[in-house]
Amino acid sequence: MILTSLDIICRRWLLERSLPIHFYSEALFHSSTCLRELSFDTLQIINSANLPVGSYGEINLPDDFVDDLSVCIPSGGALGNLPKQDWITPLRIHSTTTGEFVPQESLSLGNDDNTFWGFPNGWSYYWNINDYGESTGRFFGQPGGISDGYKVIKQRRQIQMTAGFEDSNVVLLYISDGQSVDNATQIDTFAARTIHTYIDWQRSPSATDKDSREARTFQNEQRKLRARLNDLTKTDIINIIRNSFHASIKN
Amino acid sequence: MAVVTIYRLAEQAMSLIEGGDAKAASSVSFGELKIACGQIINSMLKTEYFNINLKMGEMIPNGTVLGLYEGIEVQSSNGVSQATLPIKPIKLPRNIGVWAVYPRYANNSNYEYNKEFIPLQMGQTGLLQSQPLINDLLGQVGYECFGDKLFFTKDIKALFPDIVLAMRLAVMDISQYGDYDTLPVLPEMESEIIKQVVALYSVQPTADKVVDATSAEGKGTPLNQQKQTQ
Repeated sequence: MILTSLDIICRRWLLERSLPIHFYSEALFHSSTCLRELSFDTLQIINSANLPVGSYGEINLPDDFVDDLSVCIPSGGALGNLPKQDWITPLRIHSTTTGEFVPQESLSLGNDDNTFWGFPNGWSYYWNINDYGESTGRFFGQPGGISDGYKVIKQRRQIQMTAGFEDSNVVLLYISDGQSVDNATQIDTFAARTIHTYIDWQRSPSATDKDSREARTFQNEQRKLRARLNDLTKTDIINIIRNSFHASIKN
Repeated sequence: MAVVTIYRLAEQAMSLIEGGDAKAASSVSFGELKIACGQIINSMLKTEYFNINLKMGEMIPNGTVLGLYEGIEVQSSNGVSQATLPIKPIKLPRNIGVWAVYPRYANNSNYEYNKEFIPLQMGQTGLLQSQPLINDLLGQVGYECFGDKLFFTKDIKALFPDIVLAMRLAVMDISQYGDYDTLPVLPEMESEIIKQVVALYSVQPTADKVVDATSAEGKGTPLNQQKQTQ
């Protein structure tokens, strides 16, 4: 079995504890809480969504979004990652005439006042030129990065792209809170025992005590779950080491 | 050992109460004793669950008599469905008295005896609505029990117009057993049932003064001094 579901986990727990169906709902409540907690840093349920970019460069976040892994531009079979741009303002800009949201102002690269022979000043400043205005090469100072990017603005439940972003869609890879409907049927089988011990803990009189015996049992199962989920094999390690050695010309 | 029937229990109790065969004008009737036997059995089943099952940590009320009721109608009301319990079961923790509710979705189909609905505690349906993962109970149908009514989390009547329910209820429903049907009563409970029924009726006043116009000794005697004819 590749994946299991909350329903299977809860019914199995009832069977193991000789409990009737009247305890199903309680098991379901606790197991969904456990799934949420495990999603953050153990199961790391990573969802991907192809999202449309709106008229002012905004992207609405999925309901189960917790944290972003990357915002990418699909390119053939690959995804090109975009960097975060923390300088993007979280404020939306209104059109003073219509009142609707409008795209952010782009950087003033296209403004004539800031150009030199058609090149943005930010570029030409670092060119080395002689007295005749001829380039002498040795170009310094141009950053290698790009100014395109995004910023996650949780209070708006949106991602804001930089001004002038051209693509109509982006692919968002994000950590889910494990509470979307799909997650109920996509639980790693390794996690079943961990969820059982969480239900036991929450049904015990020590439900709020993280140092209780029941809590420690759960934490141990969580530790084992992390170990089991680690997919690094001996072959992988050997391959990483071998790939770190390169043949080169010996002088 | 003869099988336990309601008639046999009532007859034994009657013999003890009356000190022999029941009199023609006995103030205790067989029908009454049969009802009393049912009441005592239900009370003992509940006591046994609390004294034995729960003490052992067993939540499943093994040994309890479960009455099976089929063909229970469902009504749509206020956007959800509801049904009425055919009989009020024993009150057990978590409403285990309502042991299971099964659907039969169409007229020509079978009851789904291994797919019971999900019981919820009172008020949990409303709380569940805020939880995106489980507010639909993973696609299952739940119900809350308020008194003798079951309220379902979905309008199953609208989804399946021909739906009827079967219920297993933890109750010894005396009306389900004829005089000579075997009762699902534990053998060790038999003598205790009789004892308790006898104790219940031992304080019953003797048969009241009956005005018997055919009795010679009754004639001319004031009403409140007349004795029953022996």
